[in-house]
Amino acid sequence: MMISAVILVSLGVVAYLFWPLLEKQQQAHQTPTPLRDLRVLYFERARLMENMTDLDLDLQLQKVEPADYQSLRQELLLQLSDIYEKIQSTENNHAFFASVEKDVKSL
Amino acid sequence: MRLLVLFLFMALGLMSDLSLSALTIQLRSPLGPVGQQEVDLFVITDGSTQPSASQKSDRRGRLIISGLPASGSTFVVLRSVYQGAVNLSDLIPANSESYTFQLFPAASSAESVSVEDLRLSIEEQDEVLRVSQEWVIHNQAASIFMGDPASGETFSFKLPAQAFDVQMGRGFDSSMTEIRESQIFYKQAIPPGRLFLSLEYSLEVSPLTMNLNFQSSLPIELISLATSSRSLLPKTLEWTEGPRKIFNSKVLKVFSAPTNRQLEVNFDLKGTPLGVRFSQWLPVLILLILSLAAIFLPAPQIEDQKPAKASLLKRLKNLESERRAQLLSDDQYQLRRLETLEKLWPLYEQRPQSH
Repeated sequence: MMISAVILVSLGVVAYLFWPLLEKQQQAHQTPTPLRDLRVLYFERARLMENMTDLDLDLQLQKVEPADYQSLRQELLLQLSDIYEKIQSTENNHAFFASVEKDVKSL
Repeated sequence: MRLLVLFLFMALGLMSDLSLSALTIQLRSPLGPVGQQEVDLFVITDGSTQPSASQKSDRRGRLIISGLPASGSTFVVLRSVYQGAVNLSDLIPANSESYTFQLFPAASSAESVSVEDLRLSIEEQDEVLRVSQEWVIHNQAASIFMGDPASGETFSFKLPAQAFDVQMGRGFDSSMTEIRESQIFYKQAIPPGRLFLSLEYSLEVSPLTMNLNFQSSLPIELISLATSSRSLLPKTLEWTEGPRKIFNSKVLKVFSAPTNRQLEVNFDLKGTPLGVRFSQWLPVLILLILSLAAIFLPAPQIEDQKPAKASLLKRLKNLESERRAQLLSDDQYQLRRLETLEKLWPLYEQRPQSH
């Protein structure tokens, strides 16, 4: 009985001591929303750029007609434009990025 | 010639073995020599008892027993009924020259008989309390206390209600002791002087407070408790410290308290009882240390484990320089910039952000 009580209270004390650490670590592992959005956008941008490279290669190997190439390229460029716009918008809408930019410039 | 020497040695051996001695007995009572008193004689040789003829003392209370074997393994016991009391002598070596046989009359009153000391030793053994209890009965009268004429009971006492695993010890004769429920009846006459009766029993440890109740047919003058710590003594009695004594290979202090000739002694043993081992206190000790740690230790500072804000900002500046110098591809730059920004985020999160 006494040993069970001691174990329970010991667990409580350990939890009390290390709770802030666990909380902070949990926070640290949570990627903030704008950065997560940016990560997705950069991944999408890289995918579109890769598609563009593949399309250029297909043209050189005459796998695709020049007319189709132009149409597809135009579509990819539109998608890329949209991605760049979103990246710009994300960075502009959060003071964090402006603050970091300012601090980097002041170094 | 050889046969003659052999017979001579055999005869000498027999004579030495059969050499006889005489024992002079002086019979005395508190009033003086007891004349014309009949005495029964028992000769004990090599453990076997042989009754011998009864003899009477002369007018001066003297009695001579002759013809006793002089060997060291023979003893004599005398028995005499004097004024209603059966008196028994000590074991008298047969080769003694004289012995004074003190005779006492019978007394039915217990006025001069009391429990001089109720001695207790309590220690923990395998999750029970083992109690060693000794009654020191003192008959201060010059008479033998015969007890109740009908039952022959001279002394009775009650064990604490929680007692179990009772083992009778010194002074108890199974044929003259009766146990009814938790009460023990002693049926032997109590001669003048001190009588020691001891027994052992166990008590459950479980309750933190244990009430111990001792009831006696004779008034109790003193109670003694052998313990390792004074703090465990019941507070209801005034204890004085006596000499240290050895109980079951342990040196314990003996504390005594007067009980004003009560027929009942009642006290509580408080706290986790006696002889608690250090290992049993260890969980409590650990709990105490952890509690103190919780109170006094500062909370962990994880900020100290993070890279400093300045170094992260410098890293961002370096990344920008590397990208301009085309040392990094655009994808590599963005990936590393994002990783650095994620580390910087918690350091800026306190600042107000616009949406």
